[in-house]
Amino acid sequence: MKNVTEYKYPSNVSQALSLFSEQKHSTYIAGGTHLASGNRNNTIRLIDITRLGLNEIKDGDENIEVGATTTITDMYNSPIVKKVGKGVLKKACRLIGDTPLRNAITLGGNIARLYTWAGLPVMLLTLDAEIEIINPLEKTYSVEAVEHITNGGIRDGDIILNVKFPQKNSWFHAYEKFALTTVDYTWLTMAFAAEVKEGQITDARLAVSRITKVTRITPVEKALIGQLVSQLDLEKLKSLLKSSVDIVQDYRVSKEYRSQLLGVIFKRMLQKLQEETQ
Amino acid sequence: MSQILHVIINGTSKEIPIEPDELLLDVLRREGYKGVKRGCKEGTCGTCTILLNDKAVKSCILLAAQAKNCSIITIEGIGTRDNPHPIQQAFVDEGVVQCGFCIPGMILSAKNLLDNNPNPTKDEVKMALDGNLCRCTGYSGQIKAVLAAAPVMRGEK
Amino acid sequence: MTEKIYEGRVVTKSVPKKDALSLAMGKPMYTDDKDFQNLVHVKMLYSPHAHAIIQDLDTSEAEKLPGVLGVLTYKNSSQVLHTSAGQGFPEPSPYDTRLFNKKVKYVGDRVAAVAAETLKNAEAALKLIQVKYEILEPIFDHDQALGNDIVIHDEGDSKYIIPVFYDPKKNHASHIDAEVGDLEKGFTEADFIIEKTVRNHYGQHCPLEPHISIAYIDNYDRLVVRTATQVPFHARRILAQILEIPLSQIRVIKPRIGGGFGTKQEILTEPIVASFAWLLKRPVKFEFTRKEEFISARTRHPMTTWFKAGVKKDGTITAMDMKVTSNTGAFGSHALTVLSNTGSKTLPLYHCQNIRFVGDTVYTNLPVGGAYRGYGGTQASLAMEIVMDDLATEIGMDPANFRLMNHIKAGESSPIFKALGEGIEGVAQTVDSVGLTECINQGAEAIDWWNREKIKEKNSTDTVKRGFGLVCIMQGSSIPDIDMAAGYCKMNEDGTFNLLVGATDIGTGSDTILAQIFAEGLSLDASDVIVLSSDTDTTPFDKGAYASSTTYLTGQACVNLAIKVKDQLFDYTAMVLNVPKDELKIEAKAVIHQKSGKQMTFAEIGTKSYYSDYQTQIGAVASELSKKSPPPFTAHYAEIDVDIETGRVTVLKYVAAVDCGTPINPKLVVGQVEGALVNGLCYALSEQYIFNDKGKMMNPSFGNYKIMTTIDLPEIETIIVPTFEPSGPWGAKSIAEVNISGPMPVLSNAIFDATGVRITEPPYTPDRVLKAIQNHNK
Ligand SMILES: Cc1cc2nc3c(=O)[nH]c(=O)nc-3n(C[C@@H](O)[C@H](O)[C@H](O)COP(=O)(O)OP(=O)(O)OC[C@H]3O[C@@H](n4cnc5c(N)ncnc54)[C@H](O)[C@@H]3O)c2cc1C
Ligand code: FES
Ligand code: FES
Repeated sequence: MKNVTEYKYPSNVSQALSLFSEQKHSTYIAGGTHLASGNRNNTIRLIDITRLGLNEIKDGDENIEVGATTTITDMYNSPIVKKVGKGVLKKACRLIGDTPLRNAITLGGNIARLYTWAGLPVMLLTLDAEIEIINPLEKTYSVEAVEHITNGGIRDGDIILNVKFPQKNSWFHAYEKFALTTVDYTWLTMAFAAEVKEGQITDARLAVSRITKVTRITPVEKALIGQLVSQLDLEKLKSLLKSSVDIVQDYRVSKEYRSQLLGVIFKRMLQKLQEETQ
Repeated sequence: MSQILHVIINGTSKEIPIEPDELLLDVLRREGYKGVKRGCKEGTCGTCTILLNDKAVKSCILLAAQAKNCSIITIEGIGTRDNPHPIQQAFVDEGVVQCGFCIPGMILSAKNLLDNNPNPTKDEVKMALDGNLCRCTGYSGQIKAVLAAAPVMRGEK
Repeated sequence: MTEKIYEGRVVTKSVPKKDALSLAMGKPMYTDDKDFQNLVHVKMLYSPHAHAIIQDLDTSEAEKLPGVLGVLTYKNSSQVLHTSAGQGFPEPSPYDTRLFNKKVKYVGDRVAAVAAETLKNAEAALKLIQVKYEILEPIFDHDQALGNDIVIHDEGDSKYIIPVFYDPKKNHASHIDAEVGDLEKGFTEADFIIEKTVRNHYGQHCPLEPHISIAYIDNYDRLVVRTATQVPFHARRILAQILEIPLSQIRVIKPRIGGGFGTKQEILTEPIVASFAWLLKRPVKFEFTRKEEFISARTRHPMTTWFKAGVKKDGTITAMDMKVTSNTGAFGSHALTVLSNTGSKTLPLYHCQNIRFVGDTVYTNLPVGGAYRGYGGTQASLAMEIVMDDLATEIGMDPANFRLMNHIKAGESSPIFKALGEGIEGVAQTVDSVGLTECINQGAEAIDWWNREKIKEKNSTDTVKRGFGLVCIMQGSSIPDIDMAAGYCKMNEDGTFNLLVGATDIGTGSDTILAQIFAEGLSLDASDVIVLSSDTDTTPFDKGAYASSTTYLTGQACVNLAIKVKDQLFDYTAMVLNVPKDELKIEAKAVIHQKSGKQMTFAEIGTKSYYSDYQTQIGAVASELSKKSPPPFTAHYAEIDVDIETGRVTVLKYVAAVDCGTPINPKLVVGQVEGALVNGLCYALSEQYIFNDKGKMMNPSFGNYKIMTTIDLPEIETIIVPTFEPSGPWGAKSIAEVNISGPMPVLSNAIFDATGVRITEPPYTPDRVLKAIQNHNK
């Protein structure tokens, strides 16, 4: 059993990257909420990335840029973040863990490894976020949310610099975390976004996690496009969703129940969409 | 291979030898801050809550090394017997200190709130305390105590 | 009835809790807050199997590891048969436990303990212990355990040390039956009969401070155990028994305790640290992790309760028949007494002359039951209060009116008091203080009970249904004729008093309550009383913190103390002032002789009695043995929403109206009420042990065993209905336990009111509720 024997404090990104290149058993640490409690595998060196100035929230015309080491609390309290998706990102932040946890957890830490219980990966998907990353060769590149998820999260050695969230305020947005108690680990996280023009859905995003590996549900998105909001066949969409999701084991609660839950929560989001479009 | 951690605890600058994989909770207790409690060591009970750079965090899911050059406030640092912090006083007055094990963490979470939001709603108080379990009191009285401390901290009482 | 024999100077006042400020300042007051040099750390290896025989156990590699100081297993440790239940002597729980066994009986049973220089050393050593198990077929379902081919305690030497039924060969840990009146006649007279089977689930106490003990050898070579216990004196006795050393060689110190709720009425970590300290002659610490607290400490006994009752059209209850199967898990801690309390703490609540109670406790290969706030009353109230509601519905009477009509009234008795005691016959008693009518009425007003149909209609939608529920609950105060409590006090030269009690303040505030009770008797302020609890070397005996007895029983001992001291103060003053004793009285901390205008302040008495006049120590020892167990009563109301598409139950408002006799300290009463009822709400809604098919608990963490936080809290209103209990200290009864038993039945009643679906198997998690709704609609 190896132990962490080094803890490093780089003061800029390139120092952080070269500290990583020197020692392959390195792990970047941000909030530390996942790493401190021992989830460190073979890590010998921890590289603290909270002192690199990556915690700025920047307002742009179309995009809002949130630095990777911004804490969830700072996101929740930010008037800029509130503008994203009519407040849906703020709501998602609110439903992560509890107050002292949100004070520590960072945006980067929440999306880097795609923990199935994490609240923000689905947000990346329905908001069409773009993730800016730098690799050990100091090459900066951007990946789209879908790609980040398909890649299975961040590559070892790469650092997430920031996430750009389009405001998407002309869209409808919904977000739900269903669990036993408010601060419980989620049973089902669902995010839904739809673009509606003259009563017709022109584009849609639906993403779920924990019930299955975080993913977009494209068959449902496709089925929605072109539909009149007022004439949605809720039952049919519900069944389509249920049949499109391969529900994973969760010893806490049966697949049967979660399948029903999936349908009910989605139905309610659609009903809310109908109410709001009227 | 140990390292020296420089931190400011309750206003006093300290150099503490630590191991790079030691938890902040363990280091604080070793240094004598026994008001930092250990109820679960997995980030779920809140008894180990401290203020790190004025934010309430759970010291059992942080490494001590993360606190380098930071300011830490523990329960020992916010009031004395002759001059208790208004939140400490309110908890005593409302009779909501039962076994007391959750209390230091509760009070620091409350302080974090009231320092930033001097006039919170009941819902805001509930949200600020949502990381601190209490098995004894049923919470209502503690929420009341925080609401009672707010005007005192604003200098109105 | 509420004749007040107290002045109310101190009693009925919410004086600040003695330790509140110190605790709020984070003073180092708990077991682990004292630093010990050369402290040895302990880690425990637990059985991964629910039922197995250890074929081979090799600790040699572990022992060789640097830093390891010793390993204890069944091969080299005390093999004294005992019970871990910290009860009075002779204990009413079976002696079926050894520190370590060759046969392991549940996932979480102790296999080996390692003592080492550091926790890391000890953890590393655990991994080097080689154990070969012969895996046996386990039994998990308590309804199948009785007489099963699989026998859990087949060693053949387990036994009770009191003459009660016990048949371990049939997994039968206890049996009780009691019958009063004529059951058959009762059921014949009934117009309607309701019969229900309910099942409650595993739950854990979750004190925020886990079990922890530190043992060391003092300068007289005695063993000192500093420990988080509810029962220091029983701990001392049981340690002497297990370690086979004289009781006089042991001192148990209880510092501040971070909650207990029953699980710290168990002797678990103490014998381990004591064994190692005795061996190594060094201070030794063993602290449970949160996981160990779940898998290896104690739990609430899950039970299957079958209850049948008959009622006449006019509301008269004609017969009640209760059958209980209790699951005590692998060991019989509190197996018998929790069982008897399921009947004795519920059946006397309503008028009925024809009653039968049959109870069986069985062993299974699951975690061990134990004392848990509510102590059987919680389990049986679920059945009782569901059936009461159904009876009322059946005859078309409002459930509140039905309970108002039938609940036991002051001056009445129930044949059950005599028929059912703590595993043995009980003590006949009349109940002299019953505020339940007022509780029901005031609670109804607070929740707007009589307008509920309108409120339901207004707030229900197609998918969310509003509902209301009501239950009544009783408990007891102390165990009559069994438990004794004592106090000792002495006067200081400034007129203040030290009060030394064995009573165990585990966060309940009993130090403060006892100071108030004592102070009231001498017209002192609570702040004039300096309380010390508890230390087996310095404080007198007390049975400990359980059975809702501290305020009632130890409180009465403190009243007795005050009476004795008052007499001494009068004797002394009469002597010094040369006035007749019977003309003296106490006023404003002075003994006054009104006729002559002479007086002595307490401070003068204190100083003169120490240094100048007729020197003597003013002080006393007093004790109390209770003669009855007056029940506190409570009425609980809940207003809830049930989402019939997700199954989510949301509690909107909760009202508890309580009769605890005289509320000695109203704020502390409210704290006991709300703490208990929120614990009950969590148990009813979200707490559960999830086992895999091998009997392993899958969710042993607060992350996955869910307790409410502030954010999930409903609006809660507590109403205190003062009554006067003639047998209690200044009219007080207990309050600590009774309120934990309300939420489980009240939510079942409210769910039924909202949806017409009767749920009898909590917890009411969304998945279970939805399933019940769907089964109902089929
Ligand atoms: C008790 C508890 C309850 C929780 N409940 C929830 C919940 O309800 N919802 C929820 O969403 N989360 C919850 N979490 C948080 C959990 O999802 C993770 O612990 C958290 O998201 C990690 O964030 P962090 O900033 O602490 O990351 P760290 O622990 O510091 O790091 C986590 C991982 O991400 C990598 N990483 C971090 N930042 C970057 C970056 N900028 N670039 C590249 N890699 C990076 C690290 O190398 C590491 O592998 C909970 C955590 C705990 C302890
Ligand atoms: S000890 Fe840190 S949250 Fe429980
Ligand atoms: S006072 Fe005991 S846990 Fe809060």
